Amino acid sequence: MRRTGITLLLSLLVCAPVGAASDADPQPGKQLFETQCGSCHGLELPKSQRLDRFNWKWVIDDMVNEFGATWITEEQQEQILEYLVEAYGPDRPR
Amino acid sequence: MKTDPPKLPDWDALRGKLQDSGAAPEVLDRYDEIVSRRSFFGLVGRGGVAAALLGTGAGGYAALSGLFGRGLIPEAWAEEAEQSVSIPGKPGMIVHSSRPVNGEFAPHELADRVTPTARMFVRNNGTVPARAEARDPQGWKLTIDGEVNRPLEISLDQLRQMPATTVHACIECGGNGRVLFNPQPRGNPWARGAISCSEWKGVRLADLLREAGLKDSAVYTGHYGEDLHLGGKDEPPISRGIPIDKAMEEHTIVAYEVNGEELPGLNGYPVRLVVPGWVGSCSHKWLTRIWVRDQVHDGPKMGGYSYRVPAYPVRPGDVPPESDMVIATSWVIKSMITSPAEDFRVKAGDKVKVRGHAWAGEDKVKDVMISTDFGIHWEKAKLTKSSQKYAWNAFEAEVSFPGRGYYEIWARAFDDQGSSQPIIQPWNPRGYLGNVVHRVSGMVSA
Repeated sequence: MRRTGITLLLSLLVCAPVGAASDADPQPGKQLFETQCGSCHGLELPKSQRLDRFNWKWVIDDMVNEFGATWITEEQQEQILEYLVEAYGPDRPR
Repeated sequence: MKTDPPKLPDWDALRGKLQDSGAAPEVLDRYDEIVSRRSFFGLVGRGGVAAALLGTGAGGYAALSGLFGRGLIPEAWAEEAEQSVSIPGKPGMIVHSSRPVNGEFAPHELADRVTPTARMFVRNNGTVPARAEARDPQGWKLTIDGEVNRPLEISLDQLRQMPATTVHACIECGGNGRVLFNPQPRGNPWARGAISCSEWKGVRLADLLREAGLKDSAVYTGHYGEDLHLGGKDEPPISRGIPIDKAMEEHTIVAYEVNGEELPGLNGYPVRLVVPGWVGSCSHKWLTRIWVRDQVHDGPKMGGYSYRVPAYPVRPGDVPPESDMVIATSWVIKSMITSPAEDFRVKAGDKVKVRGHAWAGEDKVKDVMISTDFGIHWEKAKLTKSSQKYAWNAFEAEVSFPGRGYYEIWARAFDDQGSSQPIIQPWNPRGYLGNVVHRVSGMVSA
């Protein structure tokens, strides 16, 4: 309860768009990528990559299985994968 | 998209609100620690705290889950941190990642025979340890255990009192050159600059292992350091090792100084391994333990596809089964043009000095050839060989261009085993040991 209060307070203070993807969010994968992946590492490296579906799946599998991001559900992994393939695929401009 | 600069936050007011909301003392302590550690990154504003929170050893996961809850990271802070990050002590570094810190320098910044400390690349897998950040040697010790007769625990003072040696040696990230692979593999997009050739002072690892007394069963080392896992997982972010023969090689040292000074926090303070000529991940930073093994070490990033290459040539893009991957060990013949810089501008007929370095892992550099016509003709450069086995060797040539146009200067080194740098980069799934011919391009005016 106390932690929730702090979380809410800080969320309000920074006025940042935080929190889990909502039904109204047109890009749930983007939100999940930013909040879940971004909670452990910077996003500039993944954003600099241009990988196909095989390689993005490989990266996500490694993050979950090798680097301990086990709290990300399979459904969320799938949403993140779809976003990364779309936004950072091999044909996207750098 | 550029937005207005962020307003400076009122940290005291924020702390007060935290306190008023009933935050536990440990949360407040964590908040104080995080805010006080902003200065490490030399940043102001929310981005500074985000950088401290997320990447510098404040216990990123713990701090974040305590303050915000998993998945509730204020992305705006993180974005700001990444956009504004500058790494203290490393001006001009091309930063590939700020969390963990990974960055390199352009070849023309690496012209010195001895790489200045400020231009040593940074390749981190986890957080910079709090000890390194605070430059606090208290309590540091090195343990040597496993397949030894007399396990050792050595303090920094004891290490400094042992016979010391200084080596001028290249340390090069195994992924240096990844950006030159096609298709470009996943991972930090290192170009040419994830290499340094500095002067390291320390104790020969062989001396320490002899003091501990290696058992006949000793075949490999396993290295451990103080850096923490980014995701809060209770295991090291990386723990690699080397065969005993390489550990006993006289240039493999436990280093406590570089270029005459204590190690920088980002490069392993207070003590690191220097395993010259081999992929950089063998040169463990923030070293605390060497576990002598009776088998090939199996710590994080020893298996799978990390720092491993296929046992046979593969078609670009193909990923062979894990069982066909072998550990990447020593670097291969390579060179780098440090002058002129990329995108040079000269006039036809001008005499242009071409300078750079060549190195060859465990082998010796024999020749460096230079071409200014896309490899049709080659001329031998003047090579000044280093007396130190693992230092790079300087080369110099003088070229001129016959008329206006687009030109490239190519450098191609040859070793004493008959190998040379490839014209096209052979491919492997994670982009290791890239050594394709270095090409520097420019325009020549009439």
